[in-house]
Amino acid sequence: MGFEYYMPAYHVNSPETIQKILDSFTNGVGELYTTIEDGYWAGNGMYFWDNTGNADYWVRQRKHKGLSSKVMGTSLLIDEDSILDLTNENVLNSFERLWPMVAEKLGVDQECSPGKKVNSICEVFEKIKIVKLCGYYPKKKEHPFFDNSSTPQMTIKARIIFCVKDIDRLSGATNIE
Amino acid sequence: MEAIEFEKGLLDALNKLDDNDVKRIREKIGVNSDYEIDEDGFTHLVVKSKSFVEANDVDMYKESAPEIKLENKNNLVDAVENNDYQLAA
Repeated sequence: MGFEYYMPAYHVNSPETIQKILDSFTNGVGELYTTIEDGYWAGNGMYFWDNTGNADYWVRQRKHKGLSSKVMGTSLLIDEDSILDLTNENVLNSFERLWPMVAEKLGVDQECSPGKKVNSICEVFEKIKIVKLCGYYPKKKEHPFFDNSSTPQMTIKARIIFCVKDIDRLSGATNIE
Repeated sequence: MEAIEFEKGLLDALNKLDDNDVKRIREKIGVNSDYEIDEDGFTHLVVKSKSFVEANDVDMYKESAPEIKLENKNNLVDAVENNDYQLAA
């Protein structure tokens, strides 16, 4: 059995949708809001950032698209037995190796987006409740605090994201001002 | 989960799928649509052309597919260089 722990996580969406999610938790229902806004990466699910700075980044991106936003926070249950970690190269190698078998079994085009591959695999292997990934933003300007050389270095261009596929991973929801 | 657990779990689940499971999953994931991403990182859902759909449906169901097994556990965590693999954003 793997480790289990809670961590703060942040979701960005329209004020109306954030309010619906908050209300659902207030009413004791708790609804998972799934969107295609990020689906290309890890498929269907509710996407969360791991800190408020990254959530603020996405608020700014949405603003550039003319979209208003609110941020909600939650306590995210990380259970290592049910997380598909796409930041783990060993897991990625397995994913890459097994995907052709999954595609053949389901009769799905092998050449498709990562999100569609994840959707397919999660439908087959239902134990997966969270997909962890690292988003890379090449257009983002590097933070001046960091070096900008060809050596291994710290970067602000990569961000950890969680795609949550089951509501039982979330404990409550809070409006973040 | 670790890579070995992922491989075992996925292969086991694959081998348990029957035709009805495959049909249900195909409908749920939408075999004729896929995601695309723009330069700002926003996803868009696109529907494939009719010709693609027809071509893709030709071998929709593969009966008596062979059982899939772990072929070489030693290769499981080999350092396959994935330097070209980047999430588009």
